Amino acid sequence: MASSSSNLISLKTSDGTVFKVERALAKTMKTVQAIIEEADANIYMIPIHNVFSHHMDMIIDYYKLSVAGKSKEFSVEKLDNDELKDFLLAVHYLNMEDLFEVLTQAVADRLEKKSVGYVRKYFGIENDFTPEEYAAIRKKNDWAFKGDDIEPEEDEEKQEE
Amino acid sequence: MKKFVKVVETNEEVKVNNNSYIPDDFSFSILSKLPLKSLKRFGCVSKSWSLLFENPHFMNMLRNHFLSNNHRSNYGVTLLLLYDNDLPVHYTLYLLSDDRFENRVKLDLPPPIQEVVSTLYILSSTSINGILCLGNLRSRGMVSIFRAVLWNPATAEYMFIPPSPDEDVPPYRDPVCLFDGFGYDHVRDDYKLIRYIIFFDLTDDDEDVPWEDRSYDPLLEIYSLRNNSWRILDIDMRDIAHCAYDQPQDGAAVYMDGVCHWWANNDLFNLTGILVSYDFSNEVLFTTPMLLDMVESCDFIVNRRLVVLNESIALISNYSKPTTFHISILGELGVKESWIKLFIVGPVPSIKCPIGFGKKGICFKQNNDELVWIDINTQIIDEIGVRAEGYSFPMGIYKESLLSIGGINN
Repeated sequence: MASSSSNLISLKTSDGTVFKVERALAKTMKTVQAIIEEADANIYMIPIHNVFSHHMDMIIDYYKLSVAGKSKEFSVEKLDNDELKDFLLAVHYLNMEDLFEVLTQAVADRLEKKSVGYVRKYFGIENDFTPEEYAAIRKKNDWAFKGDDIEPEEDEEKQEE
Repeated sequence: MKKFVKVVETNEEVKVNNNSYIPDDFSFSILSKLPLKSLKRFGCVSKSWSLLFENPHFMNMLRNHFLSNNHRSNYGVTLLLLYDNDLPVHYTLYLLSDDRFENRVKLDLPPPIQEVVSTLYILSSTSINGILCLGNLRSRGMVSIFRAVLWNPATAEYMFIPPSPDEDVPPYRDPVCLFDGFGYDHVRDDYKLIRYIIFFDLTDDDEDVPWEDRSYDPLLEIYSLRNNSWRILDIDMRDIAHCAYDQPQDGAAVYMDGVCHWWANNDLFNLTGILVSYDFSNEVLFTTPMLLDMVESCDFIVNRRLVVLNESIALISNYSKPTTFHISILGELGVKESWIKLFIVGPVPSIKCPIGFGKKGICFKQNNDELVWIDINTQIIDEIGVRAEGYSFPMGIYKESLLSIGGINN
């Protein structure tokens, strides 16, 4: 049972796991902090939808590292691009500024050389250009598609020599 | 399918289902951290993304992020070279660790340079692995003599560079250096100088000179510290001829990642120009023209100057009436379509011209010759606390290292 004088806040993730976290860590989650402030004296358990236990594990890792002044050592290398996106969405929901900046930079680094097609899928965006419009804008920015390390577009791969 | 409304200011909705809906703010936070080339490519993702560069909210985020990287602690310390008119005229070099003049530290110039009564400047405006290359121009009659010295302020070691080939010319050929630079060749672990020399004939009547000796072809000279010698580069220089360059002593060269860059104006009105670049490792000279789209028809351009901003080449175009400075970033070297205008500073009627780059970004000289930093994003003007009379001189970046110059030149 958590009381308002306790140093620990109970957070229940989407998959039903309960995490008891330090008040200081809960403070970095503006969403949670808002709920605590709005609530009455005692708050038993705060449900955090959209956040899974593996996300909380990483959040706690990051928190421990940053308290020790080692936030640069935090790495999301082991996550694939979609796992990273889900983690970022969870952190976005919780409204954690610093970790959000770290993760958006990590996503940007992963997307830097990707193709237009990949990015559309990643963000769930429809191509609303007509074929003529796309051809025109593609041609205008042709230089941005060139480079050995840039992922070729799917529909253009066959044209590559 | 769960639906949850967040208790935060933005009132965003995040639906968790198979296709996560991503709000604009979220995608902007990622996009604003991408390099310009990626952003231009991803403009083909959708119509709204093609308009990113016209979205003020996004551009604010992009600019903020672009500038935030400039404050890294390992960026180096600002160097200020001041010319003092008081007799005997002399130069003084200062380190401004917090970019304010009152906390300056004076660096003692190498002894042979200390009493110099002629033009002194810093080639490439930056130290390379702790080594500065100082250039000195002295007049001998009607001709200008160039001497350079490599110097490590941390160890006080210095070494004069032998005279360059263009000095060995008959008196009727007057060599003029249009641009020069100091750089590092990472393939050979060598420190080099480059100079572009053109020749003017000195005398009106040189009938005594045989026709075959009358060659006024420009040349590119390279000095190598490892070999301690100069040689002439044999490459096509047509692209860089017939252009107007800022004088070397005004700190015209910018250096980044083993490549030196200069801005060359193509026409009398400073409307069009090209970026000239020299890669010290590949020994390749190449140019990046400027798009004519960048020409604003209404204003009169006073000057253009290069700086390095956040590891990118940036061109500052100085417009008058009203005094504004347009800053365009080069997305990719060699690609003229990749010049992207990112910032406009002004109107700032009190400002005369940009001086160079320092740790805080761009330093400007006011009409009253006071030097100031301008935060490009907030447009806040911060005084450095010093006046710089006379022509614009180089401001540089210095990062200390104990590298031995003699150790490289066996």
